Amino acid sequence: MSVTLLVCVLGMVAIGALGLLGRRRPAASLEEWSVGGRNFGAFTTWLLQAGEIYTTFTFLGLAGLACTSGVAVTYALPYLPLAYVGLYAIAPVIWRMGRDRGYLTQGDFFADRYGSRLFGGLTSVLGVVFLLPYLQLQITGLGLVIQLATGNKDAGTPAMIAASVLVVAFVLWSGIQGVAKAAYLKDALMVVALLVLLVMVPAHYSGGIGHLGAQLREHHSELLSVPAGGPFGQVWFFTAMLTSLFSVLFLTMPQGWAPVLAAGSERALRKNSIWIPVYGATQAIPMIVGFTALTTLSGAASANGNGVLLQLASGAMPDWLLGVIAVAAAATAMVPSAGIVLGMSTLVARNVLRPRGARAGLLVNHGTVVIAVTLALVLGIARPDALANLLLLTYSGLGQMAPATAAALTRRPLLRAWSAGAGIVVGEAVLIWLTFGDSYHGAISTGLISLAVNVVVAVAVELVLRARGGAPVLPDEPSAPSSASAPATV
Amino acid sequence: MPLALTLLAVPVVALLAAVWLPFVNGPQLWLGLPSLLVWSVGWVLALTPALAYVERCRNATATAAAAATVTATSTSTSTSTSTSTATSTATGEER
Repeated sequence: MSVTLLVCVLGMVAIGALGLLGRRRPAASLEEWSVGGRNFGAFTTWLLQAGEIYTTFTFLGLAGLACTSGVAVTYALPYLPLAYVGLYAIAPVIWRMGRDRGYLTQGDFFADRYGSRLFGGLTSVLGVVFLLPYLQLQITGLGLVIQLATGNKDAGTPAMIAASVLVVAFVLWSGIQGVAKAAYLKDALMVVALLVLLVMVPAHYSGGIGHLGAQLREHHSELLSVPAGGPFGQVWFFTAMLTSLFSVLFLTMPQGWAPVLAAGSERALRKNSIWIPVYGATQAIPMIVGFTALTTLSGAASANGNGVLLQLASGAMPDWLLGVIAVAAAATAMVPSAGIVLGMSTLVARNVLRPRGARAGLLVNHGTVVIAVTLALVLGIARPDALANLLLLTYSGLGQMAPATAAALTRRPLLRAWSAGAGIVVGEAVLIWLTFGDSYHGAISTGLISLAVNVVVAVAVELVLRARGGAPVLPDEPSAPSSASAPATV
Repeated sequence: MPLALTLLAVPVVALLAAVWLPFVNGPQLWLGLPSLLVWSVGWVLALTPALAYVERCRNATATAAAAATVTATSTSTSTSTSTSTATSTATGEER
């Protein structure tokens, strides 16, 4: 066993062990398991939300995108910090509603605010369907990390299996407490890995960042700016950024709800929003590594975009340090996977199957954790491309929830369940048609177009329903805390 | 608070406009890196102090509002006390 592989194995076991230490006794209720008693401080909330920033896409994918597309990759830099500017105001509102009405999931919010279990169920089913390929992506990414870092093609599958078992174990045992504990190690490793990469990779391959810039200008000046037109031009850059911004701002990813609902106070969430941009800015580091790859690797070597970060790291540092970088990369798969599967399972237990009784609820929830991870793992090993098409829809598909969330943040929802539901269904249909119909080749992000159609349809249906009489069905006014009780429904 | 929100709007607009600004989105290098990257990182980092200032102003406003409420409550309490004393005196309850 090589030193790198040994460090990888030890690191993955350490992540799993920390996750298991998140709780001493098994959680007695789904609320305790999924939002941990709603008492997380600012730092833990920050770790949970920051944990969403660095997925395998961010860590490996941004370097690859910088290597293949140049500076156009910077579209990914501002949207998350900008979204947190909005979340500074929105997250406390959602947190208050969640505390007062006992929300555990995004589906609870929709069911309660729109007074419709059917609507809560519809959004939850969409959430689970769109998250499955995202979960598979994380697991497949982990296999790729171990393969690339160790240079051993046979190491990927056992690593995927081991990581999946560890994730299932600590998620089942510790719930969100385990995800938070694992996030401590993950973010500490990320800081170390980013600093090491920033210093060592440009210095080793280009003689420092200053020389890197000169080489870029000399050989790839066309990639130093975003072109006015074309498929990755200014319009694409701006609209892709806006689509992602709306998606994060309105918490359209179901796994983003647990960290908000688990916070101990509004202040913790506001403080978190203040500091997230600093962490978000560090995404520039994988991009700089990608630029280094652009000047260093030959065409064939740089074609495997997702692998360039580890490829450069392996040539610039000793094996044990490469192992640390690989563990950090593996953590970017394991911790988000845990958050994703937690989000999926609570949606199924609370909003889709809705079994009666706390024990049955926990059973369905835990069963979903096992089934979802197993399915993602089996597909990741046997049919890695099976969900590739669905993955194309994950971000923009979930983004279709944004108008419904925005309309429900006011004291009285601005839309009815039927209006919001019609908007989502038509928005998803337009998105699927634009993505797979082969008839759209424009520069505007398909997610933004379908989002616009979604809003137009929702408003039109709402106007028709209002014209036919009656105001929207209103949820009860928020009252005393209702602990884990099911939200008000029709 | 309006000043804090105006200050916050500066990095927000700078980030949204980045790709449309010719002096930012060009082949030039700043600090040895692509100018668009440096501009984006700089303004993203500026969001934190801007938001912190908004939070500070928000807390100051909340504290002032709370103090005003306490003052108003104590004033109304002392007013009602003196009114009730006057009423009691008039009705001879003090005896």
